[in-house]
Amino acid sequence: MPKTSPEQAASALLQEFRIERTPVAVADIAKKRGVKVSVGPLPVDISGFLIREKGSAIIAVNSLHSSTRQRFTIAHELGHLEMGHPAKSDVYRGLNFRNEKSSQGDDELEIEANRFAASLLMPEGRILELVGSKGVDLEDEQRIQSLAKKFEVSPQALIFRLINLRLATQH
Amino acid sequence: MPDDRNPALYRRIGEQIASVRRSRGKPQSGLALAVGLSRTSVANIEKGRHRIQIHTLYAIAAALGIEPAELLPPRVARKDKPMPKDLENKLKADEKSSVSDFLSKLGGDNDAQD
Repeated sequence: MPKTSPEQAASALLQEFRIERTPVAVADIAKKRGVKVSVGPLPVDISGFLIREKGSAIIAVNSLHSSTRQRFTIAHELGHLEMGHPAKSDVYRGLNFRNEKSSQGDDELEIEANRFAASLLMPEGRILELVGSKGVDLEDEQRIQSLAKKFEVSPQALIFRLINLRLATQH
Repeated sequence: MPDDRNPALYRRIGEQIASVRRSRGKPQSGLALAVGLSRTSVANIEKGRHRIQIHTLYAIAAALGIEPAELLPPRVARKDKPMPKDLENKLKADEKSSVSDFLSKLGGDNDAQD
């Protein structure tokens, strides 16, 4: 059986809960999955973590980080669960956009979780609806800001997603 | 003589202040200036060597833009909620007490809102 890609797993989850609107209510989805989401202050290098115990899971989110980052953290940890990653816990130290491609080994699952998170929060169909096939000029800061706002993600996360979907244009 | 003034408590409050301060990109000297203390006093508070006074805690919270309660560890003993080994192995030494505090607060009503 071919392995489900992070993008497929995210879109399956959106379909299961019939979510079409953005911003995607990610904490809500987690709760519907029976995952407890708890927000509170954590050390600054930690975006959040995941603990799996018998039959239950807890996602911890650092309240000291921005709300867009908190949403990405929830989506990332949810990705580990949805894709059935084996580790019992995960400490998420944030998305490093620059090193994303060059990471290796253990980081593979982290990258998958990040891809899942990006696809969940910024569904391809919804992006296409908003930007069309012509894509977005990455230097158009206003446009990037307003799109990021629609998805409640950081501008960096949006830019990264646009590049991956080949919807970014640059001069 | 045993120290019954709970030095661990002041260390944990100090760690939390330091962690939030760093997340705000504020140097010790900047925080000191904002609350009218010397940089050395702030350093001592963060190390838990100096037992912080309540009005200072409020001033520091104000300077960091958070509620004083966010700097305070929970009342329950840390032993009550053991940290999964698997999680502990992924944490740096100076992160453990604050994650531990977080875990002991679980079950509270601080759920995420969309």
